[in-house]
Amino acid sequence: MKGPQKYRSKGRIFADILRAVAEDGPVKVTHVLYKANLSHDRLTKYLQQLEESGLILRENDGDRDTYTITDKGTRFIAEFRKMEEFADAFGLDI
Amino acid sequence: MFPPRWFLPYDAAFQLITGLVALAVAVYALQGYRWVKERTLYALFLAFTLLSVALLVNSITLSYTYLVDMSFAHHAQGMCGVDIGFWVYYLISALAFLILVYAYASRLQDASIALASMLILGQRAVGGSIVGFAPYMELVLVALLVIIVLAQVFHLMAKRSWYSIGVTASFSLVLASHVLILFSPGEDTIHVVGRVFELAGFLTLLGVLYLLRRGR
Repeated sequence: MKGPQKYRSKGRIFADILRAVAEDGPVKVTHVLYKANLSHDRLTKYLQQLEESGLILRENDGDRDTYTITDKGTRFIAEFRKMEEFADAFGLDI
Repeated sequence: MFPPRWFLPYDAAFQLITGLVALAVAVYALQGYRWVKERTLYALFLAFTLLSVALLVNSITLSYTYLVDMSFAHHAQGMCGVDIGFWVYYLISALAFLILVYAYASRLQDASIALASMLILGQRAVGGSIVGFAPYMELVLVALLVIIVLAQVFHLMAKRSWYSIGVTASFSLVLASHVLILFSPGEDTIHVVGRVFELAGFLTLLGVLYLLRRGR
């Protein structure tokens, strides 16, 4: 039986999506969907927010959109990792 | 409860250093918050900013007390600037530690620990003779720090890292310092040792922050 799913903050969801995009280069929505473990509607909303924040870049590849990470997005992942360790040192989650 | 006169300049310097360390932690948390917009980081920023203000106010109060050659015997004669300084220090410190306790208690598994430790401590304070001579605010700080240290220890039991060991050691030293200061009336040495513990606690925190910044 599957246990209760751990709460993920918005920052952590952003980091998970960005990691999926960063690891596998230009990716399609379905790939991120699988890696980030989100519903299609929620992922679409988050991808839009990430694009507006300049963390990812959307390109049209024929009939589908692909996403690549920007320098700002890479910096976000690095900062998130550092802040994860910082909060963890205080026994807290982010 | 109050430092011996010869120790006042050192005490003021210690408080200044600890205040600056708290400010450094607050700035680091703010930098992180600007990127990831997490409530936990904002709580750390807020708590350490308040702690920094409290410690700096205490440093100013102690410096003023030394410079105007004031005796702590004035306490029987009503409120003055020095009293206000000490009360501001205690109230802001308590608020800062309360924010940290709230951040810990927000995690479900630690909420029961925090509550249980508060009840145990409350019973001990009411039943013991400590309340008779210790200022209430110092006791509040000790109670809040006990909760923070307990939460840290329980976290360490589940997940161990050098950073969390460092932070636990830091809060434990700060807790020990407040306990010593609580018992210090008439015992100058205990007060001095308490302040040295506090400084050691904050310097440990500075070491953790340095390692985190280096990403090691």
